[in-house]
Amino acid sequence: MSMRNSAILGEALISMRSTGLRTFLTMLGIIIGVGSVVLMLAIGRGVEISVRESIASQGANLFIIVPGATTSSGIRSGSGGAATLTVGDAEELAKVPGVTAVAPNVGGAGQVVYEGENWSTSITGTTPGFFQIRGWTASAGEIFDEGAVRAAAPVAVIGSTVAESLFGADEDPVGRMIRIRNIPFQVIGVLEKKGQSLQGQDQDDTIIVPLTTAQRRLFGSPFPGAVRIIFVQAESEDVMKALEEQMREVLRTRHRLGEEQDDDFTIRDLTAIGQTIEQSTQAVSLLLGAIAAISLVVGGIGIMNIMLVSVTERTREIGVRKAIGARERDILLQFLIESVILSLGGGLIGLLLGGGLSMLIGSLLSLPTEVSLFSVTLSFVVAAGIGVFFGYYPARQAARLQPIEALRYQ
Amino acid sequence: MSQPIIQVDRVDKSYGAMAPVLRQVSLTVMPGEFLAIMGPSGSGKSTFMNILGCLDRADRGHYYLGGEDTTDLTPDRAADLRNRMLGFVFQGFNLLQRRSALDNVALPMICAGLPRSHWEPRARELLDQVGLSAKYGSRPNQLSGGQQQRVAIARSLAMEPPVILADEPTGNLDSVSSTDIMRIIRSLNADRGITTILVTHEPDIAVQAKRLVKFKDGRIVYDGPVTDAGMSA
Repeated sequence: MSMRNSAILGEALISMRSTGLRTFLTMLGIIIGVGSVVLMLAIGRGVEISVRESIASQGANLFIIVPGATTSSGIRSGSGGAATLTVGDAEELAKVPGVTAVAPNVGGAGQVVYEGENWSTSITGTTPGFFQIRGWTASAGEIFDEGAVRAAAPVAVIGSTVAESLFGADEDPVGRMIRIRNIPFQVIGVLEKKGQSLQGQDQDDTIIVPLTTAQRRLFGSPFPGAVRIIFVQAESEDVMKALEEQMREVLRTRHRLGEEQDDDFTIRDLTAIGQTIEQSTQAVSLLLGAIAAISLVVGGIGIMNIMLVSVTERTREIGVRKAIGARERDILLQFLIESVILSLGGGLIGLLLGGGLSMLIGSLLSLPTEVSLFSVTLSFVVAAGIGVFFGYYPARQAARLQPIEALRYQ
Repeated sequence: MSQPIIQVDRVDKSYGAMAPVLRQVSLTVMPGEFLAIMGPSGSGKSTFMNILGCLDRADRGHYYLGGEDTTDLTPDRAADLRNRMLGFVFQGFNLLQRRSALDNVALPMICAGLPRSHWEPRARELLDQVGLSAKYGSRPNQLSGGQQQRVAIARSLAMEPPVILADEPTGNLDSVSSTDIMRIIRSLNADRGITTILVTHEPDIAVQAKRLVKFKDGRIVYDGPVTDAGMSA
């Protein structure tokens, strides 16, 4: 002796259709709420991904060691001002257990010339470990090996920006002779495109040559064997803290630093910096999501408001239904279904709208926005929950109406 | 000797601290009777009808409908009882405005959980019986008052209840429609044997019933055949 669920659903749909504009406006609150949550989460996710990609492009589990500040005649140089790091340091660091690759670097700016074209770029002299650490491979030709370093071979691997500037799109740079700071080099490879670094520098605007070649031919130094920077890669993220201490000991011993003396070098843990950046972007995207969630709650209150109005408007109808045999459950479900349809329908439209907008914004800002399964699930569960939560009170009011009171209502 | 269909036993009803609306009212109705209930406003006849309709509950006393004591029914049990036992015809028709005549007539059957395959032919048949074959799809606002009341009567018959309660069924109608509606109500009683209880304040409506009950100050002051003496009691 109770209404069929299909009949209750039918009743709910009919009464929603008869107040079409109002139904839509009520949904709009949820549409905007869900849409903005989805959009904010997608943008936040996009920012996170792009930050992570930039960090990964620097190399995974990476330390950067630079010379420290020195004091001479009371004048302190800035970080990296001293020539305290050497190729020997790098060779010693490579022996520390847990270190998978070491790349000492020297470098500077220089003019490169190919036939009529010339271009100023940064030139790095390093060992093949550098390519391993940066996760960098050649898109054409090849990278140089240990043999080239031992032989101080005049070979160069060029970044894609340099390749475009000197050779244009048509010519194949591999095998060509270029002049770097007026010294002839043979191009043996073009590096894969990496894009911008976190600091916004074009990582592809560079030329890599063997360390020895750079030291001897390009950047003569008053301190032979000194390097500007040493990249060290650890075997995993877990060992990085311990490894940092071990490397500090090795370097302090080699540099004969006493107990009371400060380090004459700085070890930077890039992964830790990356994590900090990632955490802060996550916090920002959570904040955006939370602000969007407020509009969702406002939408829910809108549903409740309209459902209360609807119960009042239909008091007499509820009385008639009850008089001719509708049970409390029938009335309760009818109103509850209405509010859940409002919120789920709004949720679905909001999802599509938010997803569409995030794709649009993603392509406009070239951000890898992503509508995750998580945010789809979240928006549906929350929308349904809002429908039930904000719909229950008005529906119960309707179900509990006394039939005589309801019939008397004008 | 059959059982009474309605038996009201010394029922009291009052609202808050005001004077009691019904005092020790008793009434027995046998199946197939046709009662007219009259009385000035405030005499308690509407409250009495609400109790008969299981829409309201007595403070003291008992009300048996079809042999079942209705005193302690839960709201849902009362709803089921109304659905099964009672047909309501109201002064203001009380049709659902946005629904077709067919949907309105089907409502009690939908509430009872009957499938469409069952209620749709039945609703058509009922509308045919009240002479609205051409109006299946019409909304209440497309129908005249008399036609709306005919839809309401068809609705009241949907579950084939043994009792029809009509509260001023002609109160909102012109005299032509009024005659029309009373003819239908009389035939429900005469041809189908449905127990009919009708509230009215118009003597020429009341005379069409077979038994007259008059209320005054919360008591029954006359219960007997429809006579001039009864009318003026």
